Amino acid sequence: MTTAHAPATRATPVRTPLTSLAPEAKVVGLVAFLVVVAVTPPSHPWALAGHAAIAVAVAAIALVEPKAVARRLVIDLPLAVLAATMAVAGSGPRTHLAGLSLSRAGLQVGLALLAKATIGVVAVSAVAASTTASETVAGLRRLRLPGWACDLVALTARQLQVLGDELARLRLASSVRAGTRGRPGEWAAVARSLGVLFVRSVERADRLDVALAARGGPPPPPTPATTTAAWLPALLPAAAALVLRIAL
Amino acid sequence: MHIPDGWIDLPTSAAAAGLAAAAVTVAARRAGANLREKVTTTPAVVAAYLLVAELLVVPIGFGTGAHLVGTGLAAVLVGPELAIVCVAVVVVIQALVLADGGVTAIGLNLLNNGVVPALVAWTLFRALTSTRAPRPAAAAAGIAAGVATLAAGAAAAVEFAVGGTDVIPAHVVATALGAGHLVVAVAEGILTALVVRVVHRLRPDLVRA
Repeated sequence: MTTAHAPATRATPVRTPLTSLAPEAKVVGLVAFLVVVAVTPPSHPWALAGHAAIAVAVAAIALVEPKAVARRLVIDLPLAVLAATMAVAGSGPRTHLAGLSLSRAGLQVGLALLAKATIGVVAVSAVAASTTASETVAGLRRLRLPGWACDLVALTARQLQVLGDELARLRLASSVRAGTRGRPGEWAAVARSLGVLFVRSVERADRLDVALAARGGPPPPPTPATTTAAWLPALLPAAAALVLRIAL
Repeated sequence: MHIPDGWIDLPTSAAAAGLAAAAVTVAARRAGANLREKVTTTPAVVAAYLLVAELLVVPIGFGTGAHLVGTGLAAVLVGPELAIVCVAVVVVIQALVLADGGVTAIGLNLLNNGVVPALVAWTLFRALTSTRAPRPAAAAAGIAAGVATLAAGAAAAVEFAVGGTDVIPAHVVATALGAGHLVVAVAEGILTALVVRVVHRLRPDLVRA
């Protein structure tokens, strides 16, 4: 494979304590942590604050770039609207905040849901920053996900970079030749790029099939060196979160 | 919209995950029967296409933008079984690598963004197209993708009613989700129709009319 298939994460790989953990342990640890966060009721705000602190600490250890997290937190915006709806339209006793009559239960639940979503983004960012796509696939393979599904995710991750570059070229060509003539023109230009990209994607799939046939079938799945004793640190955040959930 | 962690309770999420896993397995088996040796390359490339297509944002006014969700488009272009498999890959990559959508909500997001819209879009598209003329196919694809987006919003509302919080009545959530999805559905419909028109002009054999 050429360098075009290299994962587009960082310019230079950064070694942190999290990069040396086995990917399957990280995935299981992440899911366990998020399950504990998900089952924590909104009536335990201090436990949720503790969960947030754990997620931020792990993200700090993983040297997650704050800018990347901030960009991902854009998904919080529609959720903030829904949380505000809960606070305004919620049932139960009312509380007065900045001249607004808000439902106390609605406010609590809305804030808790917003907090949980944010904790999820920070926690996933920590794992994503310390695990390459191919490592994640190797982890999923060792977690006994069906082989075809792992192959599929691995191939998709490789094609992402290729198609992303192709789309950038199409956009450049389109903007140079046509420019943007108002909103309808912009929509038509985007649709043209997407349509052409789809045709090229299908042609690419055909070429990949020919390449596979030339090699005599798909390559055997890679077997990365297994790292043992990585489960304890990977499950530590989930265990800490569970303790907080019970204690607070 | 992707459901994040913690919005839907765990039993509902687990049930959705089971349902979604079953749907993806059936879809993969049926897609495999249709595709034979192309069983990995085509879905991988289409899944990558969907992930890349989401990065292109078109302006819809008021400083906000819309992007293609693409499930309806995929259902029209590669069939519903393959579309479900592709969206499954997209949802897993978004949850584990891009932090978009909850990890505990993967099953829910798969139902909302994959299974429900793919089946709705395909059924509607098949019902609307009886000819191979380009405009009807593009228009039918647009309508199918738009309605499929509304169906996705309805599925999310049902999930919220079953496993969401009860501090606000379910119809308030349904209204909020419906209003949000209405705008997205119109944008999705227009974009899908325009894209299908381009694909149909270049490679009419790729549009499954």
